[in-house]
Amino acid sequence: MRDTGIGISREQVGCLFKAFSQVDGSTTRRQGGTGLGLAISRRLIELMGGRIGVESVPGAGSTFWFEIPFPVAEDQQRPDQPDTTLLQGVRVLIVDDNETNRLILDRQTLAWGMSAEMAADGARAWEMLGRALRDGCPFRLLLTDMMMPGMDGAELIRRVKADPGLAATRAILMTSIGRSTITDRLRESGLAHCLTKPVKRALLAEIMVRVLKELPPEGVAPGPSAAAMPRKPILGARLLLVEDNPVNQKVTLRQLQTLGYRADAVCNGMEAVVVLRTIPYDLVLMDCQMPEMDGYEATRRIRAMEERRREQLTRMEPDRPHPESRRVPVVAITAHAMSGDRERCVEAGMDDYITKPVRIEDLKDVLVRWLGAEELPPKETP
Amino acid sequence: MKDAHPAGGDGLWQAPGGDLWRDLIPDIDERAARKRVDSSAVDEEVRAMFMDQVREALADLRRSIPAGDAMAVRRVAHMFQGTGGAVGVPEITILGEALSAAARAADWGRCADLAERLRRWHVANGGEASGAP
Repeated sequence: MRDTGIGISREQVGCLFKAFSQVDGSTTRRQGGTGLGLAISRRLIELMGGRIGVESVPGAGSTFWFEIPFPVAEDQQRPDQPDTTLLQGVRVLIVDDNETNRLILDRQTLAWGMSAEMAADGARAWEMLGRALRDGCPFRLLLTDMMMPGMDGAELIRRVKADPGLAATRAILMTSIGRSTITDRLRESGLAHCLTKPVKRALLAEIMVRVLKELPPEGVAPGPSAAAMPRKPILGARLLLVEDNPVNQKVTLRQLQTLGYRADAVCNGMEAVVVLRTIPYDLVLMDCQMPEMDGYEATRRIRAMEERRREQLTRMEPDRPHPESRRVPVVAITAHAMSGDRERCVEAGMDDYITKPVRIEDLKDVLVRWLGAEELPPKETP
Repeated sequence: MKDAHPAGGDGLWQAPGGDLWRDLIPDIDERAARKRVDSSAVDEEVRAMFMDQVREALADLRRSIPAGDAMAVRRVAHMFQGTGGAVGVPEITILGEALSAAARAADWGRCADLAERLRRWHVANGGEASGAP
């Protein structure tokens, strides 16, 4: 929500979401209210696993925003909506030179629990496909625009299909030009599914599910399970920070940003469990002592949830490995460095730990240990 | 007397002098040094957030220490322990540890002394001057 009102200073923003606080707390203030509205909004949004915030310039106005992850209710899907369970955790490379289109597709795929990476042109996409293959975690889906400067979508798909290493990567071409000789040829030769833009959300999901259900081509072994993979999602990795103290949260997020990582933050273990149902994070940094649900209990629940998902997928498709049911590394952030703490963390299902105050060097070490090190872009194409 | 570490967070913090807490915790400098980390992530925004937290924590201590509410005091101490180092003032972490230990031992006199030093630190850094806890 955006306004062109009086705006709020940086100092005042700090207390804006606290109960009974008003930007103008003086007895002569012109605005009424109890100062509870934003505090209640924050509480409600955080209970739903979301975040609320404000950007404001004094004298120019304010923009209030919030975001909440919404899982799809398993038993209440509309009959015309495809079952997107199969999409959860699937790695997809989205290629489009239009930033808005990339953003829309990123959000859509995120809502289905997919793990998406973006490329703005065909050459960059080709490079990313090669690197992912070398890292042992190839993309299962390639969702590419047709018309792009340099290497277009059709050429990208031809290259992918000509490379035996990428045989298990399925391609979907999005085109705004409708039927053409090029797209017809691609479709008829079975190299790609084609969709006309603007692509409807439900249709995109349906096509992706259909594509994933296809068996790999004859003679091509399915990819190794994620547990066996030397996973290196590196700086493109998506991290979840679980920390109740807003100061520590902010400091750690900045440290992560300095190291080049992207992270979301939630305030307690319960919120972490809720968002992990929907979003396939690559690693969780978990504070141990938190109100409502501590890090130990949250990790136990996350492990139980992963186990249930694994069993469910194995029941559905017993003959296929299920990389999407992987175990997310959980790194404890503990105030204690005493013996016995590590054992307690391991017992709860955590994989590693660092101590408070968090040293950026420790953070870097633990992330490299679990996510791998950044590599320079390859000089040669796959 | 030698000054306590005068700042942290790249010069964001001021401590009025070593006697602020060294008489209560003689080895505070040595212990704090072990918890000092790079605080380049701390800026004015983080500073303001922490000052707000300390203000609220002091208000909690003003209620909980006279009431002998050990759980409440330890909750506040936990915040100091977990956050002081992160914002570049590991002395606050050590004070939090001492406060927690004092509350566990029901040593309310020491709790009040420690809280008073925290209040003075808060005031020295621009926090509002309020009554002793």
